[in-house]
Amino acid sequence: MTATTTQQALGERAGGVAERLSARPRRFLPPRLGRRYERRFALVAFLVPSLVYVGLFVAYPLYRDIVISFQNYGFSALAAGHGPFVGLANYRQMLNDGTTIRAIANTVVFTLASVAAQFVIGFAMAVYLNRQFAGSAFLRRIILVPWVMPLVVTGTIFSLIFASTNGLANEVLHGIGLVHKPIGWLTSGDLAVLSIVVTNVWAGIPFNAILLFSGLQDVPPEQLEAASVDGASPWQRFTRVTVPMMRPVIMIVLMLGVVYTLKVFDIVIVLTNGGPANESQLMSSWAYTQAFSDFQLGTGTAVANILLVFSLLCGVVYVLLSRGDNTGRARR
Amino acid sequence: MPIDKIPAAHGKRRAASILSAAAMLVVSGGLTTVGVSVAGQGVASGAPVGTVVKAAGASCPGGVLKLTEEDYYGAPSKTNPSANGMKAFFGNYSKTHPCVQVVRQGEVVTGDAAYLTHILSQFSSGSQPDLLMLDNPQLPQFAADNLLVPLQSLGALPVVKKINPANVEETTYNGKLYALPLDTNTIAIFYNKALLAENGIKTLPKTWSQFAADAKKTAHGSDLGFVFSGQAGPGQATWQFDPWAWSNGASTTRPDSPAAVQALSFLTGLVKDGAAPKSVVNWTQTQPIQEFEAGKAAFCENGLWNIPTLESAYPKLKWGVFEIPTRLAGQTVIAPFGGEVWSVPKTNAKEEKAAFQLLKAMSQNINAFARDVAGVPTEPSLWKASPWNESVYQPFLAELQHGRSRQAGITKPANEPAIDLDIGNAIEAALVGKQSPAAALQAAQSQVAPLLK
Repeated sequence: MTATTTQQALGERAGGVAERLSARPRRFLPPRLGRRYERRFALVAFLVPSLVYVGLFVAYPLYRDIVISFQNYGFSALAAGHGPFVGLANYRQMLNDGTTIRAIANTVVFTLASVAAQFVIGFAMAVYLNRQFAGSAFLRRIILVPWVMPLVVTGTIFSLIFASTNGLANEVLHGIGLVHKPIGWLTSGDLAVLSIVVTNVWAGIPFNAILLFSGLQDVPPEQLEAASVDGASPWQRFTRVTVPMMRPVIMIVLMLGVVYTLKVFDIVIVLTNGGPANESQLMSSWAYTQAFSDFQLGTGTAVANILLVFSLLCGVVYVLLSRGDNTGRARR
Repeated sequence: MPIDKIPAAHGKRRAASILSAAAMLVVSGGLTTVGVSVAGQGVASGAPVGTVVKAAGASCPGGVLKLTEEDYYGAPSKTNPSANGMKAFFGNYSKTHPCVQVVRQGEVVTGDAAYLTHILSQFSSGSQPDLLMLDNPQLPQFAADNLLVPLQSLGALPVVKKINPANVEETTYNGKLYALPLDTNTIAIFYNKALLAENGIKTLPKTWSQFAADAKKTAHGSDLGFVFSGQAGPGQATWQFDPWAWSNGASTTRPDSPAAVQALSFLTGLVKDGAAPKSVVNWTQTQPIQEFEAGKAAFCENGLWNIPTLESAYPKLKWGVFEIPTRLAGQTVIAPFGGEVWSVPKTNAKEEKAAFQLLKAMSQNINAFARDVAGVPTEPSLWKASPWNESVYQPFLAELQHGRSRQAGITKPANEPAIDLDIGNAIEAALVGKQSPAAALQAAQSQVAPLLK
């Protein structure tokens, strides 16, 4: 179906709905108000539920979040429901705090490393699962297990694996003679961040693998065959045919990966609680610590809003990239 | 002050709730009719609510008063004696006081931060409970914000004279009593008798150097030696560090004093030396006691609330308790008071009065109450009775006699939680070797100083 025919079809369908709605005007309003009002009423009636939802659960919390970030919102303000306006003081205080800078750096490293590793491993698994072999269907199903497991459970399991004392990782490494004294996976700042990345990668691989697997199934076999007749090697077929064909799926997987990873919170809280000495704080856990351990909702929301800006930037990048994608297609 | 608006907001809310209650009555009236006509009985399910109010209204002026209570003991279950005790007590109270119905909300939120956020949001919307349980260091913040009723303005409390004055002091703010401490607790060292015997330890350590040597002896293979909590947070690292520092002459108001630095150097040394595991910095108080219960740790710093569980659930584990060792022989152990306290939030005169009567009833049998919540009574004269006269309680009771409130010496006690966290971060930094104990505590001192003014 070409673009024009799709649009026509959609137009007809939309027109059809409108016609059907306007075909029985007397049900909604008295006849004197006429057909125009009837249509407008129908439009409003359809819009209201989503507007109410967005208003109540997205716009209002966001508005409160922004307002609180400009207030001195501590214990007393929580009890009263509002705090004194302090301008940009919360943002200034947070950006002058070493822990915030460390949390921002950790978040960037954590997000890039997690998304890259999840994507590469997930893609490899998708390619592997895309072949038909005995048990491939079964494998495709059980691969989802880490994804359906609550992150708190994942975090708890990995905290047992990475425990410096009698942890599984150290026992194995010691058993095969790779290390002679226990590694402080969760007791040294940098290693703690690495441990959080590893845990998150493990939890995120299935999501990448399954989405990319479904993308792989949409790659037309004729094109791969044609490429192979033209003498392309398997690697060339992958990079020159499969990957370009899958560009939209890859974009979505990476975009969702970044957004999901930016907001990861449970794993850090369970594994390290942001420690030792706040060295493994991510922006999400640091915002939480400020707001609900230190009861400084003003500074907590300031950190959360910086994170929000990060997420928005990713969204903008995605929109720009996907536009480029469309024009590229149109040209082809 | 914005706080002044609370009663007004509460009034509005009450008006709204009266309206909705009226609506509910209309609905439930309809249901009653259906219930009666179909089943022929009117005293079951939700429908008779209106009936009860009406029936009781005859003998109770103004109808049955609903009192809400909030604590964080969680849902009643076989393994949750505190919640069972609460449920039973409030259930009985409602039965013996037909004009009062106590609704326990202790199953809603557990955990420190979530609990406080939940309570504070209730205050902001005027839906605060009528009787409120708080962890004792949190009380001054609530009192300072004028959210609670000074108890003695509601009537006489003869029990106060019997309670340990140090416990009364921690619930007193600006000279007024804002809560009743019914049970208290503190921390000492639990030891595993089998592991000590295995490693040839015959006498219990009394000083830091003896303790370090013994802990080192018991830490080998998968045995952990000494376990404690080194993670910053309310009731974690700082609370566990306090008795080591305080017994050595330090105080919370001077985190960088030489006595405090000595104490932190001692604990850091144990970790460096392998006498305590590196993981302590990731541990709250839960993991250490779990390691101890699993028989992996010879020594565990933890609270007396573990005694009932250790006795009932781990019959094979042979264990004992001794006081926190001191740097020099003969120093007095000074340990922090734990335990929850009970307050009456500002609501309106009728409910405040009724909540006060309920609190008074709770204080009439402190012994049973303390046992229910796995604490010890704040009334020292009760310590001679069972189970407090058992040997495992004696080290704790000896420490409690010289106990100190965590707010002691802090001019603005409402700042205690923030000070606790600053010192906790210093402990973490020293334990992982990020800073020397002296440097870490100096950093804490500079953060704490403005909170002490």
